[in-house]
Amino acid sequence: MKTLYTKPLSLRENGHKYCPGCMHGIANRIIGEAVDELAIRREMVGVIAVGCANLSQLYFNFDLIGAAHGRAAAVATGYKRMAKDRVVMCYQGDGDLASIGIAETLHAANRGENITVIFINNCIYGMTGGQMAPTTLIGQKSTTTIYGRNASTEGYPIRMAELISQLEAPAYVARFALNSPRNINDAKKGIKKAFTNQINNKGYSFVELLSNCPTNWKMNPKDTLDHVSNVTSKYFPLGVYRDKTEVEE
Amino acid sequence: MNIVTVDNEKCKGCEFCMIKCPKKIMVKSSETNSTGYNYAVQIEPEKCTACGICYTMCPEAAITVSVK
Amino acid sequence: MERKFMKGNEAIAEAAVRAGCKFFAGYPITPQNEIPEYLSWRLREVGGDFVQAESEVSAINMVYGAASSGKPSMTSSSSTGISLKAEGMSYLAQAKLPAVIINVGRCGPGLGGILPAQSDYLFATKASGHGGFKMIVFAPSTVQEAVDLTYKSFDYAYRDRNPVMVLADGVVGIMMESVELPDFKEIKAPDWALSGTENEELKEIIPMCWSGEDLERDNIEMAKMFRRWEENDVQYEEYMLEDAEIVIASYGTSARICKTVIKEARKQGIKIGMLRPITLNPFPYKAFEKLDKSIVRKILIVEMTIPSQMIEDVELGVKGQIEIDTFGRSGGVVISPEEILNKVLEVKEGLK
Repeated sequence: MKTLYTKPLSLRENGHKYCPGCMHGIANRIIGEAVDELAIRREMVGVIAVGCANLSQLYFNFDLIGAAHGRAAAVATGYKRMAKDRVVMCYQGDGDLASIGIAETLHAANRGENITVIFINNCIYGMTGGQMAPTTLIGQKSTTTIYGRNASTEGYPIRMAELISQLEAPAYVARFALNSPRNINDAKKGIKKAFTNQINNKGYSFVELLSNCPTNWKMNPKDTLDHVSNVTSKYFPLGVYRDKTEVEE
Repeated sequence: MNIVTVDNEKCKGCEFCMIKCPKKIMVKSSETNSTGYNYAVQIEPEKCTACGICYTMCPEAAITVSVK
Repeated sequence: MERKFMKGNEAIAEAAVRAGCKFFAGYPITPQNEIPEYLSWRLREVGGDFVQAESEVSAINMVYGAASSGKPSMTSSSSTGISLKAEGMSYLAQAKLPAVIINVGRCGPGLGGILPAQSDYLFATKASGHGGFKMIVFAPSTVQEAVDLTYKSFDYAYRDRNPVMVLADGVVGIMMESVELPDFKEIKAPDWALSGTENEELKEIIPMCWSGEDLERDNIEMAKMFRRWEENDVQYEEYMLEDAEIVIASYGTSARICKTVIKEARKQGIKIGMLRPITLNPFPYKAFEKLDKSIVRKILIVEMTIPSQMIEDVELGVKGQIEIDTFGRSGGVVISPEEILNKVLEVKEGLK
């Protein structure tokens, strides 16, 4: 019997604690696959954020550093400066990266730190129970916007990939979604490219992954697949926003 | 023949593999695992093309696809 | 050893480099700017690196990341900036990461002012952040002592896998003095560090515990460490204490000024001395406890802060057996020998 597809070595054996249908699990797996395929498990260091992303420290099977809420990019900056032979990945959700940690995020990008930032955007705070995130869509209900996000009081959802691509330094900025086989495969290619950029000292890479939250979206897991296509990716268009490496090559 | 093995204990029955399987041969088991989820199972393995879509969609990394 | 005429802040920075420090991240704030300015070029000369962070919050977290690699790392700031590092210092403690934090204190609260003060005593020694961690806190009173204590801080940080604070003040930071610089040394990356790719075992630096029992175990270990500090690491100076009926309790810059006062008061026939804590935490409680109650009639605490902050520790030391008086200036007013002497004379008068 020949195995064609199975769990990558860069994920641990234990099962996930994520809610049923949560795409964090898919993100973890394709990161694990990318690490395996590039054969960088020994070099890999994950800087893990606070929130549901924090649970990933139970699954990634490589060296890990737990960061304070929002500070992953700063922690990664300090670590990578002192350990240039390692491949450093920040793994952060939307509250962590785009709200409490937006300063750390933008400045690490602006310095062009040679790190890879994986941004899981599911438009809501998961771990704390469904409060409004900086990426919560207009009209989207959350436990702190019970009638839906209202732009006049809560402002607009932040498009991080677009924002970061306005900076001079970043080498690669792209947004993918995790809701279909094709999108997932594209996302994995993007992640591999981001890691490869770092290995080749190309500088900062940012990969945004549109994810879901069946629990706090109050939606059946299967309905979230269409919601990502029909709703979230309409406001957060998929695509490559910056690719300096393409120009150079 | 292509065999899809689901780690019953890891599966949470999200149905992503069932929805995306081109041959519609991933179904919910009538059995539940120890956490109470009706896990996914492959039926009619002879129809399976080993495309790996079930594996790709699985958030639990619970699926192994192999060829016999 | 090398002798040089240096500004306190630059001397602290050079001492760190000689102690093996390889990474510094910081954010500009007066009166400590010479530390990042100096290290911005100096660290790269010795194979280290420097980052001017976007905030004090980022800076301490960069230090957290750098420390994870096992390389000696440091940040510095001043009072209000140190407040912003509170969360990061707590994370360093829970993740068991060594780091040195220099606080060149200024007056407060709030933005306060840029002038020197000693108003961070309680913050530095009791609760520099959430969760019940503590740090060894050194209080240099001269530029030379700032050099020596900064140099040693790295050893303590690595011994304990815990952050160490050097609590200086604007006077020590800005003053120029002749200093003897220590020799260069290297600190090797310890086994726990994410230092390379050769290890078979995976490593984690995690500032949390999934189980309450595990976290409690960490807390208990930490408590044992605090106890060990009290047993082994207390440092203080006794100055002209033998026959002193008035004992000044003071640290840092004010203690240095008090020495001038004591010399002058002695000329006037007053039996006076000083007990100067060098480690503010662990505090020299026993040194205060063993003061001879039949000789010492009054303790006078002198600090550049109002109200006194060290009084709580001094009280714990003397256990109500010696009367305590306090004298301080604050708001950035540097205390003068004349006004301390006047206070001493007043205390002396009261003893009759």
